[in-house]
Amino acid sequence: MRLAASFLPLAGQQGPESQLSFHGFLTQAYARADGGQYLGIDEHGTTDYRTAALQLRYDVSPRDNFVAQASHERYGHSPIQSSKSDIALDWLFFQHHFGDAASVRLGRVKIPWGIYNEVRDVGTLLPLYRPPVSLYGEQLFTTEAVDGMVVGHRGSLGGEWSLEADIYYGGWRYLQHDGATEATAHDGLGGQLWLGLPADRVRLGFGAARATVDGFLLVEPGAEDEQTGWIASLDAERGPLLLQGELSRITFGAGDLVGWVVLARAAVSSRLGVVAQAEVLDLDLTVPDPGGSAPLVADVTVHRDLAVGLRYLWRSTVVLKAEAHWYRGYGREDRPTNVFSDPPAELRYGILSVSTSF
Amino acid sequence: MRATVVVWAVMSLGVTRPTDPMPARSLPLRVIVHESNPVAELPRAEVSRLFLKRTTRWADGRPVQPVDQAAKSPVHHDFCRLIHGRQPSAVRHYWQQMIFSGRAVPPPEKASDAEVLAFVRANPGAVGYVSAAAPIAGVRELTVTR
Repeated sequence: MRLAASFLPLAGQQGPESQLSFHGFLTQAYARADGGQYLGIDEHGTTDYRTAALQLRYDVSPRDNFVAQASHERYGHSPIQSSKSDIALDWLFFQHHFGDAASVRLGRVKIPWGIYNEVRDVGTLLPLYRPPVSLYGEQLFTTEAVDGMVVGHRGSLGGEWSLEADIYYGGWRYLQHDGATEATAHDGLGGQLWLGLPADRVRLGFGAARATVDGFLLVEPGAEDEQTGWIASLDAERGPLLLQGELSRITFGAGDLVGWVVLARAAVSSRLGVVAQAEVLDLDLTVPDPGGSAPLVADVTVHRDLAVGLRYLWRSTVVLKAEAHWYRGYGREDRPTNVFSDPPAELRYGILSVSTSF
Repeated sequence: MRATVVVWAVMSLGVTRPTDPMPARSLPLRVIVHESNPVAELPRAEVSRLFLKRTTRWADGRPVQPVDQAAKSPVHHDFCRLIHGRQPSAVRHYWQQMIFSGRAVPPPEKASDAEVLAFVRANPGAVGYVSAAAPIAGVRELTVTR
């Protein structure tokens, strides 16, 4: 963070006079659970819980730029921590604009997927500490960035209607449900559409993707798995109210995952907001039983999280959050549960966080 | 200021003709361009697009170079509310989305009307805004229509 702090005076110096600009964000949290360990949060509490990133952008010309972002993330006591490095290259790409509407990005690019995938770690933009796990979890088929290309187009459909479209092609890696093994997706093809309605700040989104996946744990070793996913989104802000809803489905050879989330935020004052969120992830899975003749079948809710929180804008660049979650599912880390035979675990956890960006 | 907001709200509902210039007294700021820029007037929504970098070229092909005022300045607050139709926090939210998705960065910020004027005088594609009381020698004022 000493490095990030040393760049702070440079923020906002971008523009025609300066081709080089720096931006960054940091969220530091204290988290504690009651009833078990989940998402790296245990009953003893942890302050080893943060996200941070530093972004460097170089504008070769008004139409051409290079952008790189390195991130640092800590998950408390989560086993995921041992599978991910503390510092990672979020993205590194070259971007070219064709006029006002079209652009192409080449390299490692954030995947446009739903409301939050491109900004999933930016605490000052998120209503709660993290975006909903059911749709943006670390161990889902989709991931944060694609190694390949993204072609984008933004334009007006006439009147107050607008359309934003991104299409991407390439590959990505994602951590699987065991929290330790990565799968590799290749020949990935996807897109995200956003339709802006005449009502100010109301938009509808639809995204879809497919990929061939190597190393997937639920198929025979060496076999490939064809995986597809889609996500539908509503993002509406009117006056003091923010309402968001998303539904997604991810299909793989052995089954599918269906997740949804509803979030509402009401501004009590210009600084204070109240947030409520409900999210669910359902699993439908059929796999061969190594020791028996009949396949193993699971049709369960693997994740249900209800949350309430307060969000306080302390300064224009500093946000404080306090949130409480009620969780029921199969994600307990200190005592793993089997979706085929065990009941889901129940626990509570809370997160206090402070976020800033520049 | 409340009266200005009411006037603006009524205008937004389309009660008046859509190409009418906004009454000078309803805008506590002036939108300015380089004196060589042939554009004389623009709709409010198009001015907003220039500053959000959604329009990046003038009609004659020169690149648009928007310049902003400091986030804490009263004129920035007025500009966000009257031209973008949003609170300054919402505009900041928009730019954070753009920055951290890697799409774009906000215009450079200047600390005073004088610095904005100097920037606009020096850059043929520049567009900026200053408080209504600022002298605007060496630049041209853009008429903002509804």
